Amino acid sequence: MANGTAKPPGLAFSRETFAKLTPGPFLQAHLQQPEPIRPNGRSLDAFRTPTIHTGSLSHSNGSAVVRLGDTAIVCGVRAEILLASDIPHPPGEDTSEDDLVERLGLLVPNVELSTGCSPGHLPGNPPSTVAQALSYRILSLLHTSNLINADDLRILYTEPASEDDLPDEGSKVVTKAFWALYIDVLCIALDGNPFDAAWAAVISALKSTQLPKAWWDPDREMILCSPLATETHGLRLDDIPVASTFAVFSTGSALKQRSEAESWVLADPDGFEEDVCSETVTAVARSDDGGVGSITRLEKSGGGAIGKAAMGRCVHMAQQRWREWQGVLHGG
Amino acid sequence: MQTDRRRLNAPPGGTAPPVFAALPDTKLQRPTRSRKPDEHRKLFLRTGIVPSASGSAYYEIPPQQQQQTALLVPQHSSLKITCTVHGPRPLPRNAAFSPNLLLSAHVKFAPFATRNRRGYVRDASERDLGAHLETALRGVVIGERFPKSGCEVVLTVLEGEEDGWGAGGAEVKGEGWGIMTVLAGCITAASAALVDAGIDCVDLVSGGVAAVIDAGRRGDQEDGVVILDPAPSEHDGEIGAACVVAYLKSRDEVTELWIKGDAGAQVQILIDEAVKAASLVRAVLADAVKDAVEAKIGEAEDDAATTGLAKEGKGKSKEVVMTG
Amino acid sequence: MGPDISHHPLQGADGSVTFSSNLCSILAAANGPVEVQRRDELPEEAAVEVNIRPPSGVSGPRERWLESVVAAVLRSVLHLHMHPRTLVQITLQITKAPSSTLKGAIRDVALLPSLINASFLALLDGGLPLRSTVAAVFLAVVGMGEVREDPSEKELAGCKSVHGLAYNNHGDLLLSESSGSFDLAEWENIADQAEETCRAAMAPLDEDGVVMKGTMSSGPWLRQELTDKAQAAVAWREAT
Repeated sequence: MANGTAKPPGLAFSRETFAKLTPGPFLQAHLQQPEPIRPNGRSLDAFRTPTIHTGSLSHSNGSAVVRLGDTAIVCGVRAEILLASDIPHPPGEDTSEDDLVERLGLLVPNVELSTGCSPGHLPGNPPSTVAQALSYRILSLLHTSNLINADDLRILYTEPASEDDLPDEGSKVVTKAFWALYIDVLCIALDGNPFDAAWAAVISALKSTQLPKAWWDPDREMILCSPLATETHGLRLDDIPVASTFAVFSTGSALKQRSEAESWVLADPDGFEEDVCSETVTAVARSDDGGVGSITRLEKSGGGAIGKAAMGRCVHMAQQRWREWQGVLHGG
Repeated sequence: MQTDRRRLNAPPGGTAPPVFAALPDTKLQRPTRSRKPDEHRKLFLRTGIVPSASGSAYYEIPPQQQQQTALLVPQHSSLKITCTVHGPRPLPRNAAFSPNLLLSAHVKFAPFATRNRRGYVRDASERDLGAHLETALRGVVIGERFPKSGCEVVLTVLEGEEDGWGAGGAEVKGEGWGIMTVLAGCITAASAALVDAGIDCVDLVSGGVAAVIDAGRRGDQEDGVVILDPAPSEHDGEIGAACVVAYLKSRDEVTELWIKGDAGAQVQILIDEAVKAASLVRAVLADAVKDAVEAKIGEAEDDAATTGLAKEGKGKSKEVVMTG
Repeated sequence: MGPDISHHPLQGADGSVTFSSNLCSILAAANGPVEVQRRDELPEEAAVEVNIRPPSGVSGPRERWLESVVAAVLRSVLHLHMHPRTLVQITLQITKAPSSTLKGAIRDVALLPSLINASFLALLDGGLPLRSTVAAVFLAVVGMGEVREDPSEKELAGCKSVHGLAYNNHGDLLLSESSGSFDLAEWENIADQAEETCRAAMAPLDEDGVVMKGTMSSGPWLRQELTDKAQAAVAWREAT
């Protein structure tokens, strides 16, 4: 445009170049518009639509593939037998059922990110801090939500009556062994928010898990299982909690005035947004009515840009997300 | 299992895989091969499944028939492999100068890929597969166009072929035939992913596998029959030798050849059959790659058409002007 | 009464402190700014490395997760821009942990506030530049819906939910870890109570050193620490 005053010619970059050179200002430019929108085209509160396929792996007791946008995660559940006689420190009689699964270590989740799922996660390296933290968070959430009943994992044996027993005493039922579940989570493609997708994969795989009928054979002194598919049993999972993660993008820094800082809460961040935001919030909801006991876990760290009010909004969004997931988990 | 302090470990006391009881009254039918000796199983191949990688592909051989639902243990084998290619990327600063592309292939079986649970640490058979795959790919990639660069080809086997048919869950005598089919699949998947990544290759390389069925054990009069694309569960204990080739059809060249077992007088026939198998696979590979390229061209044309206009849902026009 | 703090127990580290609360004891050491590995170097800020050692056994995924949470909080507390291309290293040795009869998640949430308080005091002892003061508190909701601050192990048995929160002196919420079974109204109530406690811990002392708000049992323990430290630092001036 011809003008009286000579303006220095601007540099024209394509969007991709701008995003690579200055990711922070690129995201900020999108969010500061009158109608804030994210570079991936979603609004601030929009989550990605999940898809779940279960039962595709034939060597696992349960399996699920979850796709959340471009993030794809596969989970396989393998059951193996832990003999009660092999347990080095058997828990006492007073251990509650809720604590038994945790005390015996019957659930073994592991998240593997070094599968080439993104350029930053190439194989040949031991699990990074991110992968280890993810595995532990899944384990912690499995135990906190009391998702698995210890009774579903027991292999019982009714001891035959012997001469020592009193006549009116019923036959004793002892637990000869437990099922230990190896929950292996592999990330095939990563585009942000591995935790939500991994948790969804774990619960879908556990829902579809079938454990064979097992019994104690006193002659061979070992546990035998029936290979018939009709004699399997599944796991009872009630009140399945659903995880929702949010990233907070803030323009504040130590070098600027506190009052100048602006912040935005982005639901279900993708890879680009995760790299630019340091603050995250994860809310694990168990129902959508906000009633008693509706939240299982609430985590926030990485910054101080948002407070109580924004956390409340995140919890509401997590509860709505719970309803969205129910359709996918039970329908798919 | 060794305790790995970087992962969550098995419960103290250790676990063992379940042992299945033999059922006296259930007749177990071993699956038999219903295809012709020179017929390949149906393949499924798709590229572009991992957008953040330079190139990627998903390769699957679905089970031939519906799994018999009466038994827990799968009776028909299937194969699922994902492959991602990251590169060309610059070599680390301390690496020596390399006039060619440094290709490294990495194969890993998922823990739930086989009947016996595998660990997370790479074992010898996986390293072996990686070495064979590197040989196969090195012959097809035009390395001198990418000096001082490296390329990582990462394969994850989500479900692998078993070595035989475990009757109703009985122990499978591991003789290593399943891994031949896995290698053939890996070669094909890696080839598709390399094309998706845009790395210059002289041709499409496809993997084919053939085996000599020791008919003598079945009491037949003939010499061992050579079949292509053996499914080890259909030939429990009958396979005498197997061969994998990585074949370039338009140049009629073989970049990798791996023979296991004793083929006797039929070595040449075995190799020829494997080459035939590779040609059949190449047809599927070429189709998949063509579809992917056509889709990419279509996308690029759409992008060019909307330059200057605000793209739907993007909120910002294609070109961004930075002043100052 | 407040937590039990002892100063500079380690001579070799730039800053060190031992911090004991009802449930756990932490020995914290801070070193920095020190030289950083090429691969961890950041061009415009200092890198933060946190190492957590459990009381017994080797560290595993649990410690990696605790480290990532503590490091995330400390990044908002340190003046990272003042020492670019260097490393601030914090080592936290848990000398006494909550008993293993409690559920794992309860033990983790109970540890986090002590870990943060100990790290902050160690950074202070080491003279590293800090943007703000941070105090963390551990609360539990026991049987009848009552909220207990820094409870004992007996009170924790059978609690419904546990919460660890950290606030800085501007009132920003830097950390919130909650686990158990609760709803939003309960959490908001707990957040308010935690903010009051943290504010009280950092509250300015009047001339007599009397607590401004006499509601919390722990009183302005952090402000007391900061005042003592500052006085000790300028004591040489009085002497000469």
